[in-house]
Amino acid sequence: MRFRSTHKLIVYLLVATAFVSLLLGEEVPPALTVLFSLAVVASWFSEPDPRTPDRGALWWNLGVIAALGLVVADALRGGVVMVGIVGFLLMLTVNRLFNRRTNNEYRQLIILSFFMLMLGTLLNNGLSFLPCFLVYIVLLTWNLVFVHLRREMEENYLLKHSEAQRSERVEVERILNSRRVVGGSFLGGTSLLSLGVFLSATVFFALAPRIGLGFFLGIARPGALLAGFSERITLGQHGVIKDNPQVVLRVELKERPTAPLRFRGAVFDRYQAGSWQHSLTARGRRLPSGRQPIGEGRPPPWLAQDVFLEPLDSTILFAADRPAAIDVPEGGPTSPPLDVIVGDDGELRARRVGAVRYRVFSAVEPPSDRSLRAARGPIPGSAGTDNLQLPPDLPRSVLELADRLARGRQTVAEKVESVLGTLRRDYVYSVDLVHDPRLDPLEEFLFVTRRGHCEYFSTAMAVLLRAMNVPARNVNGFLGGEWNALGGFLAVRHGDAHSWVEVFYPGVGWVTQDPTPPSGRLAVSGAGFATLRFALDTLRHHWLRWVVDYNLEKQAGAARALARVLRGKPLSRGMAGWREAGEAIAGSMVWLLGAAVAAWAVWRIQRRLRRRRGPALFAREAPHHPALRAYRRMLALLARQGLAKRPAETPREFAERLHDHPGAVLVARVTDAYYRLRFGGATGDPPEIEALWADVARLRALGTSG
Amino acid sequence: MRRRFRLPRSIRPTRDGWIYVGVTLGVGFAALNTQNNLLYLILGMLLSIIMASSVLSEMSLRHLQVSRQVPTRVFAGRPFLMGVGLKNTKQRFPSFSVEVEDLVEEKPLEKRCYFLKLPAGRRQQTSYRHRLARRGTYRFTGFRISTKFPFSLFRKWRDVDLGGELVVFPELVPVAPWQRATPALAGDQALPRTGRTGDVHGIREFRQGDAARDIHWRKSAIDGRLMVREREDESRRRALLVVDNARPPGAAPDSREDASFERAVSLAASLAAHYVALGFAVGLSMRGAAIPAAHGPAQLDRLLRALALAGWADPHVAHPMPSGHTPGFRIGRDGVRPLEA
Repeated sequence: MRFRSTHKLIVYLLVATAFVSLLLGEEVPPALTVLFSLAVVASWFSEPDPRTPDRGALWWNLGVIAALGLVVADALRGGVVMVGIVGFLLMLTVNRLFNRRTNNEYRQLIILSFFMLMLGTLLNNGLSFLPCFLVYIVLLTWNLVFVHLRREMEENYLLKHSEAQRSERVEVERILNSRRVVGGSFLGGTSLLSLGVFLSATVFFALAPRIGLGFFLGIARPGALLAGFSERITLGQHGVIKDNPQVVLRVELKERPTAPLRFRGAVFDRYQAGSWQHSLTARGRRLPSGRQPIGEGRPPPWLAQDVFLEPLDSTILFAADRPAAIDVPEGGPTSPPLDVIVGDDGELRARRVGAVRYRVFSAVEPPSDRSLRAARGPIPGSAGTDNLQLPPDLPRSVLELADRLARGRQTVAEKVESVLGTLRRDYVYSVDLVHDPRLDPLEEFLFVTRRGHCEYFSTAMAVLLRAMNVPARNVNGFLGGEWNALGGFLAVRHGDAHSWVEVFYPGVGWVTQDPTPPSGRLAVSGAGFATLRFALDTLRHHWLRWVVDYNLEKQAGAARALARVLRGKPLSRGMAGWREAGEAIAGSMVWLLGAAVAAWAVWRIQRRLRRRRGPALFAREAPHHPALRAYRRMLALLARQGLAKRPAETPREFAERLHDHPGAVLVARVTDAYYRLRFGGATGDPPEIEALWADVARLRALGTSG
Repeated sequence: MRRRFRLPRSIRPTRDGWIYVGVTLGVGFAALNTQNNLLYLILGMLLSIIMASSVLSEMSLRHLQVSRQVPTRVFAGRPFLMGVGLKNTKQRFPSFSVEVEDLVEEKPLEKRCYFLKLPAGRRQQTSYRHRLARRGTYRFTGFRISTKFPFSLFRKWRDVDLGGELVVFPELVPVAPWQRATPALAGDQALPRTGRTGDVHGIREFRQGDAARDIHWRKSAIDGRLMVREREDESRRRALLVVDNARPPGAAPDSREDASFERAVSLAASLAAHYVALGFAVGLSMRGAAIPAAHGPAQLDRLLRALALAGWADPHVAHPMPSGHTPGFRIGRDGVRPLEA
């Protein structure tokens, strides 16, 4: 491959990789993306001649100044500064791509791509950054070496060495178009170097102390917010999209749960005009650090969950139903404390930015049917005050339905069974809804369409129970999730969002009831590529856990775990994560090593094949040419007969000297072929090479017989 | 002492390297300040590239053997080509982008020989063009082998000891017409003019300085090398160059007297080269040195070498002169005069 075209290709790939890392942060406006992409493609076909003056430089410079002015003006108007910076960077990149005349422009493109990658770290902290980063290392290594070689060639190559004349520069164009400077093995070798750079960067990443300085600004990365989960329920709007595959929660559990878990999130107590709201936040209390009980002091056994919550446009923390305790982290020198607030209804909130991780415990065993049936007695004020509220404009038909369903039912359990039975029997789950704005959405669901999604079912049940004087509240959260056996965690996706009801049973407490028909509860997980999906999700989980969320505490934990391992002691339960991390790292190393060995094997095979084929691209010109090998073989044969070629003798002269040798004709023929193949531009077809070797063999036979 | 405490490797950032180090520090500060772990990853990459650069440059510099091919005659003020050979004695790895610089008195000469790629086990040869302004002895102490491979961020070098000496002959200046054919040199013999008349004494191989007209073309064609006729009368032509190198009273270093003495040495060298080329037996006489007259290129080398090393001598030191009449020139600070004058 030609040096110039390879250099051009790899610098474009470098720019593209850095741009993709930026693009995957979903912050670059689509119009800018399209414009930049078109400009990059157009610049590929622009080949400015370095020997001609750059007449368009003035216009380009004016364009850059104008772009800078636009960025400043936009920032002063209150626009998003980051987008302006990205736009300006892209403008500079396009400028350099269109004007890549010399090595200098290529060097500048490397710098610009690096700034793009830097911006990528701010805009994209997802797993997609990792492949971009890996590819970028390889391309950066190539580009740095190419820029170095190009500069050295331009500065050092001398054409003439004579005492009388000054040395002259070789025409640079000729070298840049040379196919002998770089080849596949060169790029392969530098790729292995990139692998070393990556491994070394990983080691540095793990060991560099995370001591936060926090000068200037407490810059926090917001992360990409997941849209969809809402702290409000408003009937009459679109339902939850059940096939949304974006993971919201990753919950590490000791073992796979036997039944779908309900992850409790927002709790709603106030219903008004088809919409649920939360009114208890003011009564929440801030939890001190350490393990803190939640709710009604539920006794063990508890299910321990390590929850990794993706950035979400909400302050809610999720826990399996019913949360019993939470470990509130203290916050370290580099990480702020997780400011947890628990409401009277057990709702957990935390002031947070970006992804968070916390440990929570839940009493997942439901109370027995017997205790529920036996639940009787007065309703305490704390349960009834807010959870019996009904809007004054609630349609009369709803109240009449509640009366009808409660007729003859005395206990809470009987009333709940009546409502549940009716909803599950007479109503259909559907997300394909058309709302008539003239009707109350609940009335429309109960008496007109009789179809709805989980929020309709839960709203209907809560309102009907309240109308029967049974305290009930609506809960939004997630149901189920997909067990990732590779990562040992439950991946809860956005499509798992669900709504259900909590009912107060006197003497028992709040109990979860789900009126949604089973067909509408669980999201349908994608059937195909499950393993691939699990693997990617596991990677993403580890990425967030060990890379994005890596901090001083984890470093200290790693040091302690390492110290225990070195002392031959087993890791404690709390250090189990480090065992996993160690295994994951060891596994990755094995994979990387395997990949390196495979690459080496491919390189060796390729090299062998190339040698067989004849002259290669990368500095394997003369010594391996089959004609030269055959000629050398002939020389060795003749030397053994005492007819060595003199150092200053040309092949032709040598052949002429042997005119009286018995094999003179053969020597002349081999010499002719050698000249033709080595210097005459002949391709050296296999028959010709064979004939050459046949002559050498005849010469050997002649020597033996003689 | 300096050589004994010399570091095995030296390294210095290039201009790009300083920029790179600055960017690395900037990224490091940003990472510490923001606790953005991805910036730590990028910082790790930047530092790893520095480490990789160090390892690869070391691989490039290791196991290299340098040799020097000194030109046979080097004259002050004239460009010459110094041959430099580099052999990669590594078993597998090639060396890339290696620069070799001659060290004169342990200081680099600022003339670099560049080797783009030196495969394992191979030797390559190149040369650099240089000009030394002053005659005398130059001591080469070794070589500086350096590389900016692989990223042009740092220049790493090591000095290799390889002593050598180069005697730079005096600058050659044009010989005036009267000095080329002064009657004083003729004595009782005819001066060599066009169509020299001596009988052919024999045929020998061509040496530098032999006249083209003496080439025996037929013999040269048969033997495949240039042969020249050697004439009997060459042995009878003699010229003595007497150089007055007595130190003038009160002469200070780099004074006007020094400059005029340098001119005298240059003139003597030029006359020596001229008359040896004409086939004369040329001798030299200075205070402290005397070279009997002889023919040929080897004699010219002896004369030029003596003149290259010539310096002031005490005026009381005897000036060795051959007995009897010998044609030639007396060369002093005041110019050139025929010897008998």
